[in-house]
Amino acid sequence: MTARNPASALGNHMKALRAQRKLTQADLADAVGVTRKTVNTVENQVFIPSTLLALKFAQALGVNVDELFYLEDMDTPGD
Amino acid sequence: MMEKLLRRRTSMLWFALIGFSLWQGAIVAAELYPQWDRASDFVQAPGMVIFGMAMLRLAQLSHSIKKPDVASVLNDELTQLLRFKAFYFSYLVLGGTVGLLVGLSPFIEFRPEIILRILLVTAVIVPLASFVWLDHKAGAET
Repeated sequence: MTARNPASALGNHMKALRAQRKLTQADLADAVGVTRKTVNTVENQVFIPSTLLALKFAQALGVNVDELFYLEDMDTPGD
Repeated sequence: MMEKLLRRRTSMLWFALIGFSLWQGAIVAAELYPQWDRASDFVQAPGMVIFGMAMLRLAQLSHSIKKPDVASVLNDELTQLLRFKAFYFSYLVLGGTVGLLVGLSPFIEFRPEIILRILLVTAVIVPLASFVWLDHKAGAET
């Protein structure tokens, strides 16, 4: 059994949802109250946001938090 | 506006890093190699000025941010994480530096002043450099 890196276990659909809404990383960052780098690192799964920040991202994109984030070793909603 | 403030903060951190490295690095170099004493004086002064100016501009920047929402963006979760990582890495480097100095002490006679200065340089430069590098890396992964 191989140990999984917890940092890579949380996937997200942020990039796709942001593109659907025609938002730039800077637009989303402004809406949530973080820097563009934070949006960038969350999208690239470099940084795992807190529950509060995850909820804010979901709210800004108009989806539920489980539609935005998923565990990579589980079936993703809609897949 | 936020991007501009972030760029200003990053450039001030760069100037602080360069200034402090020149200023204190020249002093340490002169202590270790006395023949560099005169050359060190020419490097110390501009280094001190650059560091002082950078600190002043950083203080001005933090005073100019009156709105709490702007301040919270500049200190968001990612920034806090990067700062924590930078300090943690610096703690390890500082421990390594102390270990190295202890290991070298039977062979090289260090004056207490130079030991303190080496530790000061490590304690200031490593967290600054690590934060700037981590912050740059966070922005680069698009």
